[in-house]
Amino acid sequence: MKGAMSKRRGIAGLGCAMVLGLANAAASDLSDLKQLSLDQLLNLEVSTVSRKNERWWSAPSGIDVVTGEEIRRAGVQNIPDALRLATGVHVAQSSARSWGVSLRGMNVLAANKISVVMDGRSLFTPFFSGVNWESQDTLLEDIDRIEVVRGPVGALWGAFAVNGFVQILTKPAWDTQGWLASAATGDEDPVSLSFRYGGKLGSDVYYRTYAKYWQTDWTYDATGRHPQPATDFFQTGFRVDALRGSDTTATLQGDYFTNRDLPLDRPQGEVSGFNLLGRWQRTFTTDSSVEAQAYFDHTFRTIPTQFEERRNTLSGSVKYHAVRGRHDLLAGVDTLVSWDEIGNIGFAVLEPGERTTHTVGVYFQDTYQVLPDRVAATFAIKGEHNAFSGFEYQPTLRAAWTPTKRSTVWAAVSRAVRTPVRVDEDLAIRFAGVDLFLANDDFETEEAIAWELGWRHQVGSVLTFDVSAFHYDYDRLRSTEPAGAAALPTTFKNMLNAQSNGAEVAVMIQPMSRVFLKGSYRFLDLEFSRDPGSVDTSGGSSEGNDPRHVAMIGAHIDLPRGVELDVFLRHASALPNPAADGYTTMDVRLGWRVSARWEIAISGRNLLDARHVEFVTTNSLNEEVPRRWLVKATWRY
Amino acid sequence: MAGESNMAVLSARWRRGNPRRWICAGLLALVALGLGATLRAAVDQREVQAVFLLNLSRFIRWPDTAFESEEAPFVIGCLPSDPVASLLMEAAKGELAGKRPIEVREVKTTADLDSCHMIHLSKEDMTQAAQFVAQVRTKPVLTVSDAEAFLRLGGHVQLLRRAGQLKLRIDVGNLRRAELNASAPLLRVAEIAGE
Repeated sequence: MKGAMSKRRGIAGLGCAMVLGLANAAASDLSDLKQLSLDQLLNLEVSTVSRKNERWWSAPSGIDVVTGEEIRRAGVQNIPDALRLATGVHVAQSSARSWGVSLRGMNVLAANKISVVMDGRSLFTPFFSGVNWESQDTLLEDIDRIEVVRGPVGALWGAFAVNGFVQILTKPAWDTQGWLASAATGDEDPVSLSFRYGGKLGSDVYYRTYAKYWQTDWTYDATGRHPQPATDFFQTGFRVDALRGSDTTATLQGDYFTNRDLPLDRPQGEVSGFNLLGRWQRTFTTDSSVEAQAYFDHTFRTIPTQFEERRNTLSGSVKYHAVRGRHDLLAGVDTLVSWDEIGNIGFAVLEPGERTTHTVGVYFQDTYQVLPDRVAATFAIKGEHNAFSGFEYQPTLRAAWTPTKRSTVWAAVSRAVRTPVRVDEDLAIRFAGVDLFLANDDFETEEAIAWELGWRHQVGSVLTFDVSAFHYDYDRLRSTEPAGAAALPTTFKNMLNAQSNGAEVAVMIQPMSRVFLKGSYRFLDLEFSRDPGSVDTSGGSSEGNDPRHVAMIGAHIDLPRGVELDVFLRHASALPNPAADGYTTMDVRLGWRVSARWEIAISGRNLLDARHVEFVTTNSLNEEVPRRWLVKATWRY
Repeated sequence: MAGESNMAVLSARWRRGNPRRWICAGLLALVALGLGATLRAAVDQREVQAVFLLNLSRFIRWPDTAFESEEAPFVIGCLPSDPVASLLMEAAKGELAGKRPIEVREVKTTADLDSCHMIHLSKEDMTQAAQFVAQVRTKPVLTVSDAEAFLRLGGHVQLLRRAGQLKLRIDVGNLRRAELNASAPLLRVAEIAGE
């Protein structure tokens, strides 16, 4: 009683109060709480720091989860900026509509050591192996969470999940019922409009439909001019979730997007596409379930003066989960067929211009409770057949020790692969009848062996931290070598190697109920080396250009009368090859929840500089990212 | 390292009296003010939620038909993955709802719901929550969750966090359909929906 009641009284002196507060919170006791009246319970200041990663607490891998609420509080306008909130993710903007996003290094525009999935649909293109971030969007208010797994997840998610895995999950339709409309304007983003309506079709069928349209000014060149005019984008979509019987859920969802035939009909690269996905889940008990999913995805993209990519993807998968005694089993099959039509409009060509590729994978995972609730060991393996390099296998062995509910120590060793894609095998460059670069059908799979160690710990109800360290040995990375005895033509071979050592740290502190602080830091030491006989002089510059240090501190403060203040400091150190300076910058959001229906927010990004360079690679636009201000009003009903 | 030189440039700008330093200082002052204004120690939300669930059993009336006998226990169901479950089990030890002992049970399938008088569904288990609520909508089983859309799904009590405190919303329409009666003191501290 005493402990709990004293929490409600004002305390003079900031430092003194902090100390008392921490001590009190740590000592809070259920039996004290049970003495309180309803009124008193509802007046307590509550902390949520322990809830943040609960689901993942005992998982044997490095994981961070960015919630929809954190995305709202960050005031971000696109998915790459939302990914900056996750520990260990390096996001580097290269132009208004291009970003490099990677974990644990190897970041280029076509970063190919991570896998990205939205609601079960792969966002990856087998054209150049990577994500076209410019064409990946959704209503940000519909995002439930973004799960970011650091380290190899190939044993479940297949090739490309070498350094990490990003899963974007939108809310079920029953969680987005009613109206939402928002409008925003700013000095670099003249117009941004979104709309959503969620309703019911019959008693247990829920749906939502949304549309968004925005315009943004282009980024700047070194002289402070926009090299390209402003651009705009439109996306619309829907999701239907139906509850059937007492144990079955069915989902149907789809999106359509384009940047053509909009008010700003610009001459630059077009992106457009649509997708349709169906999923069926049956939960027999909380210990056993089965899920089947299928989707179709069409994308069109123009890379001016180089390529047009028209791609269709059809995918189907089945997953089964069961707990049998001390074994937690997961097994599944997934297939993906992708057929493309590449328009070769420059002197670099893909041969053949049309190609159908496939991936068929089978995976199995067993988590065994060696000592129930104390020690668990996980073995998982995925066997996958792909159209380029044939059969690949990706195993992982993981162990987690949970000495107390507040602490998890884990270790893992895994093999993961990056299989070849279209550009690796089919790219050729011919100029004035002379072959400069030849296609290579023998391009091999890149391989990595990763060793990892981690520790998560919660201190009282106030602080949690998560530390992970890793060592990677990469073999057979892509290099550019002479195709024959002469210096020209060249071709892609697998004669680069790399080693990396690094660590990620995340600390979350909630010193009082209205203040939440999160700090994250990533250290990376990545060295490329060459096989004997290699003449590649790039030093790995087309495979990765990574800062040694990436750090962020975010503070979220709930002020009285529904006012919210969010401040972020971000730092990325210098890029080695090609060289570029590091930067430190700040984002701020001041929001006001005027009423249950209205919210107004002013946010500023990149505030410490008029402009700064975030990314320089051999094949990106390398433009400067400006300071920007935005005012946004949101209405919910 | 260029990163460090970047920091050096930054600190040089501070020394030169760049107006930005005033913006930064102002923001830091705002943060400090915010900290000062909101300074109160916090209790783990899960603990408050667990105790709150126990209280609900005393402020809501169930029809007699909801119990097998005079002595039958009052049963609260939780999914095995519910982060509040273990705290609730600890808190419920030796507690009574009226004259009935309070029992906390794991529910794994919809069939397990029939023996419950109250179920707590964490927002992390939304799919299961939707399924369970659909199953017990017209039965005298009180459903409680911290999920945002819970009342629209047909749920009864939603716990939400606002300005650092736990608040509750009650859908009286949904309660009526389940033949449950909320007492005046409970309704007084709640936000009412579904009238």
